[in-house]
Amino acid sequence: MKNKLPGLKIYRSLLGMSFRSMLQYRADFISGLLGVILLNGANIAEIGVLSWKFKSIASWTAGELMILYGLYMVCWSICSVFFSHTAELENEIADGTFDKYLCRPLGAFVQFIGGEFNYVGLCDTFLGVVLILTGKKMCGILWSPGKFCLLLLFILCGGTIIVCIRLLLACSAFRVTRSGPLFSMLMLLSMLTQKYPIGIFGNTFRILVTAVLPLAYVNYYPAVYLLEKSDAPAWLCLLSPVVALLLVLLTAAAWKKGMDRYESAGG
Amino acid sequence: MKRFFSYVQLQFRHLPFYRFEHMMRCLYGLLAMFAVRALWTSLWRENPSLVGKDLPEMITYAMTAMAIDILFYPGGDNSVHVYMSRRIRNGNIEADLLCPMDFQHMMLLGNASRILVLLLTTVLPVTLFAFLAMDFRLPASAGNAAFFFLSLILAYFVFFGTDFLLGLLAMVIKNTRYVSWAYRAISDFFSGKLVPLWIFPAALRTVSYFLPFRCVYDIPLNIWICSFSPEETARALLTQLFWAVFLFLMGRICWHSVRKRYTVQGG
Repeated sequence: MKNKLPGLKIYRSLLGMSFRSMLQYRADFISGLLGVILLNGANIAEIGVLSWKFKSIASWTAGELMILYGLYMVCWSICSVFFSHTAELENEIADGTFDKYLCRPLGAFVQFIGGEFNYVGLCDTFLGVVLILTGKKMCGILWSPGKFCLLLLFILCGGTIIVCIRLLLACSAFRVTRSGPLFSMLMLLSMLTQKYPIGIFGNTFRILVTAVLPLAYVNYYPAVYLLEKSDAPAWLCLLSPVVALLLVLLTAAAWKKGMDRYESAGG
Repeated sequence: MKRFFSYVQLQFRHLPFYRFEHMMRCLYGLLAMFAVRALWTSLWRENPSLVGKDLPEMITYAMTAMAIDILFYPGGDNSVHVYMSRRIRNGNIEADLLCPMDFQHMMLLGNASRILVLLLTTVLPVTLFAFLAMDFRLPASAGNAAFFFLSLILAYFVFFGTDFLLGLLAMVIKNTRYVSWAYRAISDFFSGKLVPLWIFPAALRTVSYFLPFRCVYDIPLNIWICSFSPEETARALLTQLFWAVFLFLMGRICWHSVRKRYTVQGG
């Protein structure tokens, strides 16, 4: 415990430094805001066009699809704000700049993750919450306080799952140097699971995003449970915290193993 | 042309070093094709008349879009603006600017050679697999196939034109990460890559006709599935030619203007 606390304190300082340095670039802030709004706007427009034309997708109405996408956005924003530096691991390993973390008397993970505070991700949080509330209103459903608590738990677990999956893929760079193609694959899978009910992609896909890369636990299973859909049994949806915990353990082991076998590229 | 083939040769020489990346890219293509096939099969079964095409035609449209996506994915390594942004940030763009060759031509040759190698080593095997295993249809005649390839070449020039302009923007604002997200979202939506333009509401379809993005996906895809009459094909090819020339010239003008004011970062 004694060793962990200085790490947390320095992590907070690193985040503060990163935040202050980002505030120096106002054009970047505005372009970031516009980028996030347009990106999500295009995704919402896509859902809108399909719902307008087909009325529902695999029996999911426009309101339900909004909740599905809103849940993903809020979970993603946790990763986007605090862990956006993850995808940079492969570049830092390839050009040797990762070495700098090993020369300082502090855990490499804290320094690496603390290198970036992506405040633009907060825009995702806001838009996600708006989408969930709009979808809820469109569906005309009422959630009890218990369900709201469950929603918060699902969001926390969903955020943890995205962070862990991205870190796991990033850790592959310790072995193969380039993890970019794996991230492209993850982006493709995320693009499909974030706005469509996974049932339409068939059972093989369902198994892939449930048991192999459990992206379905980020928004699909939580939405199925909260909307009381018959797409999946309740016990499967409630496994979300267990999946998150298992992924945290797996990611910690992968990071440790990666660090053990790390050899500098000599940049 | 001699220079172009030297670039192609160089790209082929790089291939053995990136076997994992190549394998993952093929897998990405197959997974994307499988997913869109499942999505459109599901939507078509819900209401065939709303899709407006027969099922194999719709599946072929969506799967060809994914094949083109491997080539023209605007955020990947095959993208000029990603390459330029990275080199602008670390100052290595200096080496490109010192080359005794026109900068725009150099970017075009480097990028086009990479796209050609991607076409031969990734897109063709993936498409062949889709043809053998996933109800993928070939064009009705050799004439249609020839028009498709002509349209694809023009689509590439339109893609390069917008991508190069985005790269030049990186020289001005340094960080194009968020602009790149917005560009990707808008181009994906209005190009007909994810949802065909004939499904759009009339107002959105009209907007798409004033933008260059449909030249990259919608036009070649409609030529592939033979949904254009000969007159429409000729008009579509002329539209592509107009945008390709216009964007190339815009790139030229902007490059000359940016070059005078540009200061290399850390160079």
